[in-house]
Amino acid sequence: MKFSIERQDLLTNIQHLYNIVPSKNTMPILTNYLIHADEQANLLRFTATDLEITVIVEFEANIIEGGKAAVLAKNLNEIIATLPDSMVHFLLEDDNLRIVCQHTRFSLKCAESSQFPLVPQKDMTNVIKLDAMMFKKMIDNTHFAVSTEVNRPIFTGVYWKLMPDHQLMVATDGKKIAEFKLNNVINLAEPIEQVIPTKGLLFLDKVFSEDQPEIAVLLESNRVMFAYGNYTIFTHIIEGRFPDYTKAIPTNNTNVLKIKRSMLKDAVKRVSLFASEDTFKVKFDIKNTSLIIYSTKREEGDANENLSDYNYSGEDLTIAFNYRYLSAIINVLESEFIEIRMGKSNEPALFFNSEMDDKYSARFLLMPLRIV
Amino acid sequence: MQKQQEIRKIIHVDMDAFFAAVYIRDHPEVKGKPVICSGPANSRGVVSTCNYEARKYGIHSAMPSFQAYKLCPHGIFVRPDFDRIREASDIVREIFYEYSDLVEPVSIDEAYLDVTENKFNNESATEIAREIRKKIFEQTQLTASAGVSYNKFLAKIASEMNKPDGLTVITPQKALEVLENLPIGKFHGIGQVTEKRMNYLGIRNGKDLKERSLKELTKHFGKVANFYYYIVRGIDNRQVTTSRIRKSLGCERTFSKDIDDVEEMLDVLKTISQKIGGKMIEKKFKAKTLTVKIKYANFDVVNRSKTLELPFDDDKIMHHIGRKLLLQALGPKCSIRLLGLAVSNLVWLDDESNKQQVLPFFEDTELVVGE
Repeated sequence: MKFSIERQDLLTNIQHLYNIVPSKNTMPILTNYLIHADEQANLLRFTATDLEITVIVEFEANIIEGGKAAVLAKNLNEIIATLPDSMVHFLLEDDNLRIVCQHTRFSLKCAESSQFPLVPQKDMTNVIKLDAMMFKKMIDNTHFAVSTEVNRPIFTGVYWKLMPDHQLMVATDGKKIAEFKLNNVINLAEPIEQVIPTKGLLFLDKVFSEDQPEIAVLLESNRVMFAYGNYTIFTHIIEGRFPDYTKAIPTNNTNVLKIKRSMLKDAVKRVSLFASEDTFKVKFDIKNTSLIIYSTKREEGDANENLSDYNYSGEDLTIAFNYRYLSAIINVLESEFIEIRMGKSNEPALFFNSEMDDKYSARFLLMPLRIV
Repeated sequence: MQKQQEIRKIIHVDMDAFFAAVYIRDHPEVKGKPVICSGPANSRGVVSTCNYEARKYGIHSAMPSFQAYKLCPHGIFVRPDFDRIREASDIVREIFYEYSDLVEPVSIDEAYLDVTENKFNNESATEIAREIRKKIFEQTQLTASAGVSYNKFLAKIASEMNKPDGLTVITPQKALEVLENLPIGKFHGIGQVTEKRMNYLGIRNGKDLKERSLKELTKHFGKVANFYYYIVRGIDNRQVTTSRIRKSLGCERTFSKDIDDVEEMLDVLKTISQKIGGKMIEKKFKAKTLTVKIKYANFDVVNRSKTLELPFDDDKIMHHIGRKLLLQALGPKCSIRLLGLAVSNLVWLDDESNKQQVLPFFEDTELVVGE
């Protein structure tokens, strides 16, 4: 195997790949990148996998002689990061990968490349093509709400449903629900629903760029393939049925607060400085005539903000939220004004963008902290 | 109207020759012989504890071991097994918490308890002390001495009066008499240097001390004179300060022989999980973090933790996660001498206010436990 490539080109293409390399060393071979120099196509292919997700990045290079090698991802990353911007030459000699750039040479011990897990084949015949930027928007609006609880694995991924006229993404950890609906027409044989682990989606989220407007998806029974730009991503799916979360969403919340998003965001940020570190509690006292947000940290002090520019219709209400969850929701909301529809103190609150786009809609549910 | 100050009930518990006693318990063949915990005999270390048989030869803690060896060449010099010691200490501490949350551990083998208000509404501190000593012996086969009185200073004096395996009560009526007769060196906080200075001033016991004015004592001893002045009058308002609301709960097993059988380790893990789980349910708390502690045969220690989103108290979950953590930390043919499990990041269940509410469909979703 022998090839050359500009250092900057290589860096751009593999910089995100390291996120896939497992940090816990369960199978040593997985700490490697599989490098495949394809002489015929004149392409370099780098693969990283943790067995649940496999990412292949494919890009042009000057391939002199084809071949395969497995090298420690960490070593290669560190080398590429420190090399000067110049042509880098790679040469595999027996079990050593020689890397030469200007006056520097490295020799890297390689692992047995045949030990690397089988890399799935990219198959573009039955893919569905989707708007990449809208797909990113769906991920951004939902992924923050997934659960990290291993014992209920179904909630550790994002539920994705494709219908002929719309798509839906939902994530929940039982304390909050994020739901994003995109109205668009997809050429589908039948509706599809899958729960996708966040790791794959977050990888995509990182590599999305305006230059590549389209993402291709192939949904299979046990895995999903995404083809985007130079990247091909195979991720396993989470088995099981995603529960009907819609039953938890109240329809008759009549206490409605309309407020400027940036104003609420800043106020919560300030008041949260004195939120307790156990509960992260910020409390809202909401009346037609006054809106107060406050927090207390035992032995340290308290914070209190009185907001005047808002619109509230409903009963006087005191309600408390974990500010971390609250901020996460305020952050993904996007319109200038937002709407919070609440029931009683201990009932779920709903969050919406005030100005709706007819292309898509988002709604968020947040369970308050119990007030006794 | 100010509430009349209630007379406190303080217990001081001190394990008898703790390190040596643990060793003797685990090695019954040395029973009745002088046992000295230190480095090897004649080495440069010092004696950390010795049993009462060894004390007859004039050996005491902090004595250089070569000196101890001179005094008692046929003594049994051993290295204390800190894992076994800690294990016993943890058990003892749990017994304390059964009675009161106001527990102030002074060291690994000594603690104060304030049982004025206790979990059994038992009026009699003496009875509690008796029960604690009994439980300690039942659960660890070790003896402890206890002192009962109305402040910390007197409780400590009391526990020392009948060592080993004794229980002494100093009632308010008896306190002044005891203090007057107490040799000055036995007063808390009076070490060898101060004792000499006191003796030089003609103060040999409590009675002598009591005759001196605060002014005079301050002239000689500075600020601390205040403390001497009051304790000799039976006044010691130091509170039993608990450094913690419970922050964690743990349980460890040290094997009598190092084990390398994974199945055996998992069995132990299961037992420990059940023990911790039972305690959590009994004490009404859950935890978010589970830590597995392993000590390898070569005494290297590793801790592996996992934090879950939702608090747990189910021993099956703990066993499952513990198992994963344990297997990750075990190399091939790994031999271990200690296995422990601890939970932290505790959530108290009776504290319903401020609790994050969870949607029912989430909690109704079945837990996936097992591989």
